[in-house]
Amino acid sequence: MGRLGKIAIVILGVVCLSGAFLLGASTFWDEMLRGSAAQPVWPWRLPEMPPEFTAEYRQLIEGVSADVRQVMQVYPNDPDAISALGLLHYLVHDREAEVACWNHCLTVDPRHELAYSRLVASAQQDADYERIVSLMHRALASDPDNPSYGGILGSALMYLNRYQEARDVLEGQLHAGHATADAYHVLGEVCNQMDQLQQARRYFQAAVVLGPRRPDSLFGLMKVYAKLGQADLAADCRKRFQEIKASQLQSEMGRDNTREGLRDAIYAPTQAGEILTYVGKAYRAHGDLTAATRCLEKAASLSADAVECRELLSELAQERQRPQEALRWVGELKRLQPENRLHYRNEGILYARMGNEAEAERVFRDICRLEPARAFGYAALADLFLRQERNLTEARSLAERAVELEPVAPHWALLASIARKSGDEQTARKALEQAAAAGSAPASARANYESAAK
Amino acid sequence: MNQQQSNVRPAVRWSVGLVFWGLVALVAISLGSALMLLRPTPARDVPATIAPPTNETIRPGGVNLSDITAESGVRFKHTCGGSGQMYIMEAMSAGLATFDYDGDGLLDIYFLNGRPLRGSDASQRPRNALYRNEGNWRFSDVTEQAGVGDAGYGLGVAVADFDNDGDADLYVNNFGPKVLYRNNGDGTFTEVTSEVGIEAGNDVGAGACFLDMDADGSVDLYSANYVQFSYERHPNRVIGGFRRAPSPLDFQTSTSHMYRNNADGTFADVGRESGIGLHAGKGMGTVCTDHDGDGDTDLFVCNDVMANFFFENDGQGRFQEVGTLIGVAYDYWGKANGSMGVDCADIDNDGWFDFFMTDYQAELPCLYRNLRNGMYEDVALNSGTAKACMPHVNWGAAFLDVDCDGDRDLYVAHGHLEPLIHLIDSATAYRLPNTLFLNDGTGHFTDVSLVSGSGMLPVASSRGVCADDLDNDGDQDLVVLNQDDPPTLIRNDTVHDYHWLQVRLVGTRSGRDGIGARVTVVTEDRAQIDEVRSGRGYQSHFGTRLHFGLGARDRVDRLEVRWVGGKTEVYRNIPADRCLTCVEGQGM
Repeated sequence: MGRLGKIAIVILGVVCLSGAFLLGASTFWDEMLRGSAAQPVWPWRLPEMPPEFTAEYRQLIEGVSADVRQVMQVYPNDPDAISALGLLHYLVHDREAEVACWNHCLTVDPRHELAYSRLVASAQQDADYERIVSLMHRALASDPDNPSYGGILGSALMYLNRYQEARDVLEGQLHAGHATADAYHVLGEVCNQMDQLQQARRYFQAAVVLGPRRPDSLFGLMKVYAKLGQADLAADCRKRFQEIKASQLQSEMGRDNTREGLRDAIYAPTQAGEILTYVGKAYRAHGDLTAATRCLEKAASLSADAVECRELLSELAQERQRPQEALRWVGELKRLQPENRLHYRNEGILYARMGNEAEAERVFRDICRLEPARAFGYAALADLFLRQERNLTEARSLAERAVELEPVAPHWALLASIARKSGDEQTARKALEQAAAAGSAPASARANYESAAK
Repeated sequence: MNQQQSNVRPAVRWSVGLVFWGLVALVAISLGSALMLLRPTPARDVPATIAPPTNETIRPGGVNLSDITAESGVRFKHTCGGSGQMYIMEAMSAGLATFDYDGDGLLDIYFLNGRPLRGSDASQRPRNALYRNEGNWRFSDVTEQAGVGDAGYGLGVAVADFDNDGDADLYVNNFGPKVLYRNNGDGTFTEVTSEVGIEAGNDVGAGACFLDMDADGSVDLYSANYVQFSYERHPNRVIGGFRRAPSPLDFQTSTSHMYRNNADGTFADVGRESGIGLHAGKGMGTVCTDHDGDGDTDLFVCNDVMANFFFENDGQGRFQEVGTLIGVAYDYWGKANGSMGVDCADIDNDGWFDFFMTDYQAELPCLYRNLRNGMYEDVALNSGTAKACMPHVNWGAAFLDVDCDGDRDLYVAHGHLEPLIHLIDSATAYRLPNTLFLNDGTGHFTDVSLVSGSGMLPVASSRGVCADDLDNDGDQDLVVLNQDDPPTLIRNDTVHDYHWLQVRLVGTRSGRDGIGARVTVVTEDRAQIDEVRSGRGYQSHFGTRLHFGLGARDRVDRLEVRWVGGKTEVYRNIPADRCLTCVEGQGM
């Protein structure tokens, strides 16, 4: 072998060895990064607690911190995990770190509403309306149909005395169909500032129509009437305004000071529960149902009144084929929100899946009784009878009632199915036609229609 | 060794050498990474105060205010008397007064102080303090000699010659028994509270005003009360992991007092009769003015987290509460703010008085512009005051013509209630520098704090503010009371070629110190108005000697004095740069 060959062998050997070492090193450090809290993908950190915290608060935060750390280690770029971390920093009053979380959240999910909301709140603390304007422009660029962003942008522009811009933004919102009391109110203020009093009057009047108990809009309208020389109308607004303010003052004065004094004891666990709910959502999004359930159960234990974690627990239990457990959570939701009949419906569906037809029927009948003007109770009961192939006469009249109250495609499809089951093909065909006409009919309904049409 | 073996040896040496150095490099990189990973996480860097600008940032020229506290001889230090319980009056702290107690032509300073509250060290005996102005920015503590070292919990103060004997008397509105000191005319005072019929009481006091409500030539007294308080029902708050101060919403409203001066050295409580006592509120700062130009004195009362009161006088000492009607009860958005202090001036020289009101953090301050039809509109949004005030808790407010250019500038005192607020909210701090706003003549203000000299550097939790000419050099100086700290004395060293006029009123048929009288100063290009007031700003008293900046005008064409009761006197062609004394019915 010549000299050149030997050199080539040496060089080749060096390259191979170096490559091997580098590959091994990078693999080694990658493993280290994944496993270490001090080596995140982005420079997140857990909050440090001031020594002045009360012992109870510190304990609560520490309990939640552990869960947040774990989820961030595994899913550092998950928006829900980042939200949990951001809210944790909020609880510890570390605004700088909180803002960093929300900013990172937006790089991952440019439409993240909570991130925008918290960033706006932070900017408001500094009275930094330029920052709010910038944020809202960004928010609208990614989510132009969100009506709240326009209102916030309009208000911020108003604080900056950029009235024409504020007006353009808010009137754009109205033209886009987002007619809210907030938008009308801010427009009224803007036009008042621009001395366009007639227009201000119209906008305030619209705000009052949409929000008759809004003292700020009544106040604005009162001012404008006074400026227009319409003293009687100003007096009427003032009277209504003062009544509302007196009522507000009364309830403020009558507030439970004991409850206020226990605010950390009452609300801090609820806030901690909210953080754990985000942790649970992060795990769920990545398919770790066990961890999700654990965190959500912890959230529910911290806050006896929290709804979202219980809704998620019910869904998770169903995903994990644990209807009895799901039923328990639905029962808690019914206790917390007795007026929300959807919990009843879910309860009935669970009973039906568990084969407890009698209980399912009882629950659906309860819905029909409690919400006679809403369709979903009738539809749910009719669907139950259809699946069990019993009481078809009653099922049909229930489905007809559902269609009458809410003529949407699923209800027409339900009626069609019941009619077909009852041997009434003509009614079934007509119902299917209606289902198709009503919009996105379920695939099964379409299949039924097409086969009936042949 | 054969030829082949001898050829392989160098190659092997090369390879081994390269591998060796490769390993060395790898180890070096690994160590470096480990060191980086093991670096400590930086702790939260949370400043306990918001730092003032350094001297290097202050440009020469323009307004120049100097902090001369250290060389003034004032050794007073306020105490809120707290023990960590955060009783509500601790946050209020106090006002102060600038007035000429001994008639020597130099304005003296009276500081209010707290006292130990339940749970704190009762062996401490803080008291109010009177500092005599010796001239040349030297002050001496004459509290003992004067006999005004009240050891109560001082909150508000007002000054007036209630007995028309030619010297200024002193009313202290305490938490606990109130105190009225009658000036004996010889540098001493006598406490005469119960003797004259003023109820000592045990309320949480606040601002106070002397005013001649019925134009009978004797000043009456309005004494505001804040909230109903008892130690036993003090609410404890723990929010966000910290012990927090209570809110005014945790307390019930209280009724304030109106005392009519019987002109015989005594007072009668006419709270209900006057209409004042029909309205319970949470009074704080107060100011009196003839807001509608009808010749009588009306009264603005800040209410904390409630609609402010505006008591309109019918001229006979009967008042109707018209705050909402005229537009000063709420802020621009119709919200009841945490109203603290209020001052009054004609900010746009249109001949009508306007009001500036301070309030709580995250609230717009209120600048109520007089619409000249008996109504007001809050124009704070356009005023230039929002950005500096909104992030902070704001207390004292004083209108003053700091540069003698003929319009009223504004000084605002900031400071939070809670020493640990910086750990909760990084937008503000317990101790802050205060703000000076310059008026452009139209009622729009610019924050010039950073370029106005060392007097804007002190960082404290400030409360009451007084603006007065303490060195008789023709411009207005400032004194600030700071919670749990020494005060700040600020000398106005602004260099300018402008002119000024100061006016001191002496009533003969009206109240002796002309309280409630309106002075109009007309120069070739503008007319300025002001009134003699007792009690203003944040529970403080200042400005009995009126100051007018005249800009380039070196004489006043016309000076009109409208005394309470309606009699008007006119003086013409007055040279500038002097202090004028106008005696009712007798001229200058």
